[in-house]
Amino acid sequence: MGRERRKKYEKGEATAFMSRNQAINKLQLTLADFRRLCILKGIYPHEPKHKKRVNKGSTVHKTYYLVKDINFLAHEPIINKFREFKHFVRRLKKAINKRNKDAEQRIRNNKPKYKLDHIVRERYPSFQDALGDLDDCLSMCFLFGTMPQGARVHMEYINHARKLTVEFMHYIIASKSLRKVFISIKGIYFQAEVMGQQLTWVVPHGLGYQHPDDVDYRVMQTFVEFYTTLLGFINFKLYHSINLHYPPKLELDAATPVDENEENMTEKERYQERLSALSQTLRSLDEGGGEEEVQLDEFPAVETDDPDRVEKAKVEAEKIKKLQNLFKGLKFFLNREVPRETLVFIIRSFGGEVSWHKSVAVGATYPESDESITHQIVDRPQTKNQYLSRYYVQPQWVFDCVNNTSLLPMESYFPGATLPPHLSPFVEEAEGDYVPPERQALINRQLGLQEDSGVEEDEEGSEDEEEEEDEEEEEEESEEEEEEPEKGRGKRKRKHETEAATADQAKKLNMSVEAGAPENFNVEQKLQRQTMEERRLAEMMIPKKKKRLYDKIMFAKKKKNQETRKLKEKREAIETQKKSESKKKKKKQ
Amino acid sequence: MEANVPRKKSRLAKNKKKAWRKVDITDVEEFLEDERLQERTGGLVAEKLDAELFTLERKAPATATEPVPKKKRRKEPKVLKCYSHLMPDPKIKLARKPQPSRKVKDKQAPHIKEKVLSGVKTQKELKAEDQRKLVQEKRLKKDRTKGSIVVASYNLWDDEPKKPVDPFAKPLVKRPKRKAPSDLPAVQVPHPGASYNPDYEDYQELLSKAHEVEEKKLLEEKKLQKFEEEIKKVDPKTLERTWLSEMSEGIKDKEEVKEEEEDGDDAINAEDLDRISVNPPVRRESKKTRTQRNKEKKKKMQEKLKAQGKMDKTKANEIFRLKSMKAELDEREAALQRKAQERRQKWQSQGLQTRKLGRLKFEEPLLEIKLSDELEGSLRKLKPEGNLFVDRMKSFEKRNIMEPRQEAKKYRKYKRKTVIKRSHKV
Repeated sequence: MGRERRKKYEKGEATAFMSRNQAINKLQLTLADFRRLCILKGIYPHEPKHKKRVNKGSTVHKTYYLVKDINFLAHEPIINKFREFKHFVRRLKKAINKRNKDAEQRIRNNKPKYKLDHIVRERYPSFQDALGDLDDCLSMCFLFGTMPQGARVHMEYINHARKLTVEFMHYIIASKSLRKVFISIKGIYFQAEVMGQQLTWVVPHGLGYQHPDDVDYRVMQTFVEFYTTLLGFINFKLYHSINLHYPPKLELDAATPVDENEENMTEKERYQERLSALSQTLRSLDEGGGEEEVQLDEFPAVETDDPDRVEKAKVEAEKIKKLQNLFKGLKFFLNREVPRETLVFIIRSFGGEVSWHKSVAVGATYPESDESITHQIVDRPQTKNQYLSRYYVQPQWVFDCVNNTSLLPMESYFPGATLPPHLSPFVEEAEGDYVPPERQALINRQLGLQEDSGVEEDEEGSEDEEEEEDEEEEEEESEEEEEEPEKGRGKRKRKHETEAATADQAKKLNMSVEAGAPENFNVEQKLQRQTMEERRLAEMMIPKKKKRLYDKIMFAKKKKNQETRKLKEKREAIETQKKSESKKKKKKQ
Repeated sequence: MEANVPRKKSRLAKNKKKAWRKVDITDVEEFLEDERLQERTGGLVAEKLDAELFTLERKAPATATEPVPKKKRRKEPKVLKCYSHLMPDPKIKLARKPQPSRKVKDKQAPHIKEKVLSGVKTQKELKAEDQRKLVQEKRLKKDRTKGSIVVASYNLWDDEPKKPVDPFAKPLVKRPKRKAPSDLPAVQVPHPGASYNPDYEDYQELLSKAHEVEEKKLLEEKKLQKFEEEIKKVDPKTLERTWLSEMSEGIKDKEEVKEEEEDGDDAINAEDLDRISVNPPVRRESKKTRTQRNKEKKKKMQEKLKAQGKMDKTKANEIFRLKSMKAELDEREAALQRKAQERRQKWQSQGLQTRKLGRLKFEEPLLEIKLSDELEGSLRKLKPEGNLFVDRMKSFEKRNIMEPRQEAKKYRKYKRKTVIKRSHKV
């Protein structure tokens, strides 16, 4: 009749979690195998809210896993492969110790292998999920690709990682997806946009490899094992999305003659070296076009009737198109002291051509003495400037141009000159923040260029309208463009009435019809204005109660602005001081 | 007969066999045996003439002296003599010949033999042959030297029409849906001051951050130092005394124990009074009379009425307190909102927190920064700071993917014992 006595730790959190040792006992694996399985399957430990409840009163620190996750792990077919591997090792050891060479060879040849395809599919059911996790994957693969032989990791992982990263870089070059570059003291950070997903990854500097001792290489190896499989499949899909062969084939592979450096290589090695040089284009699946005829991504199919948004999207798309052809038509040559792979990757993904000295690496397309080279990248302070037809710049010019989305003036980047600071493109200043003058100059240049482009566009567009509105514009030349539409309409109406009269007058007075000045119709400014208006309206609509809070916020903002102004004044003061000092020095001299 | 050893001349008795047995007569016997052998085989040599025994050769031999070729000793495997008894003696014949076994190869029936020889094969045999060929080809093709690297050769995310489900197949286990372990981005972009050629303000910001970290460390060290100084000030004698008194808390002294035993269990000691609650005995004088009780009741009622009156008054006057009441309510509401806001923020920041997943605490990685004298504006002279391996591991730990781990210490289960050999001891 009565309910059985309820005991503690039988329901709730205590039954939802399982400690690591319990999990290992349940799955009957060793600790190393369990860790490998968790990493491959993507099962992570969880921290319970109340440790005491889970641990039945004790507060010892343990690693807890969810029971459901462990039960799910138990159905994994790879566990059998782990056990088979254990048996394989045991038999092999026996054969070696008994000096049974036949058996040893036979057993070694039948090593148990397993594939991770189904795990990748299960962890990332759709391609977009996989792209979301690509940051980590790329960073690890790039890092492993730079490890030398003799490191505590199997050579095959290192080779595989390197191969895949080279393939990925080729894809980025072909699809022109690179957007930002940042060189920090830790490594080189890249940002690219692939199928609507922003990817950020790190590449180590190519200068010397450090063996940190406190890193668990076996764990990293397991991660790389999974990530290489993932990256392989992603590469396959990406290559097919832009109609290229996978595994990649170079277009002019057969045509290029064998170099002296390449003589001692096998076919495979030669091919791999040429591929990793990133200097040649890839062959596409369809026989017609090459990589150049890659279509831009269409804007997101958000059918908004809002003309502003559509215009904004158009403006952005044009910006990106401009960025992708940043280095088009330019020919670069890299000196020996310059980081070759990074620069080749960057220059090629923006449409430029690169080469280097033959003895540095395989795959140089043209020598230093080529007359059509426009830029040579040097990093030493003194160069023997032999050629007058080309510019000699430091490598930071390339990085800054990319971040700036335009070609910068080269004076500050000549060899031996003190370079301007390399700013981070990942910084987005909020309103009212203090903007250092260099960054401000950058932004101004960006905006200024946009204004120019806006002017160019509208020149073409308004030429048709010019002839219609010639007479009107003659009289309206002095008037501003920022008229209220009603007034403008009113004026135009009046003009329509007087048009006939003026037309007669024109004929009588022999007035010439001249090309009118085009209206400066800037999309950006218009958009800005609209947003400001909307804001003001919203402000008026705030109820009284919350208005006080809002006022407080605005007050705080104003204060911040004041501070930035103060900083600016300080900076100006310093600069004027510097100028006066330099003037004094000159006077003295 | 050894001449070295001086012996007593023993007289030999020639008529007794016993005596003769003691003497060594092998040489005599040998000589006589030799003589008998010679007589058996062809006469005593001593009686023969010289001409019968020897001949003089005056002519050269007729045939040309050819050098007799040395017999090439074939490298026979050296059969050791010690194994000779293992080898079969050719003179000994077999005691019993083995019967011819029944498993004779040619035990096939004659009609089957004919069939096989004719070359006509059944369908089964033909199929078997083809299959064998295929397997052989496959085995030869199988490139065992290829590593475990597999090139992706198909589209994993291809939406194929589902294959016909096998009714006897195990139902697929679904992966449990879990939130991402952390909302932090996988690759965190560094501070702009960490550029290899940073802007002045950004660099100063980064330096100030590093400075704060160092200041904290210094503060901790100072605290520890203060504490250590305080400890040093204490006199060792007083320290001992206090230690003793602390450690002996709760331990009863011998004298105290004796007292307890003397008194017995019924008596209540002075110490125990604190624990036992005993009221003093009731006295008649302190009994309350009826009048006293009534008075007390009245007093109580009056007080009650007073309190009620007060309450009514305050209630009536609360209308005038409306403003302050409103203010109180607003305050309480504001406090509740603040708490709600805090809770919301806490809940939102849960996704960005680093959890404690194991025994060790997560330690923030050191800030990578180049000091101002190490800053070179050139990419060529740049020495990278910080290690990306460590960075990646820390990132995993921060995002709750891995728990912080320490290398397992190698320790001995049993202490090492040194034993000096007896022979080494001098």
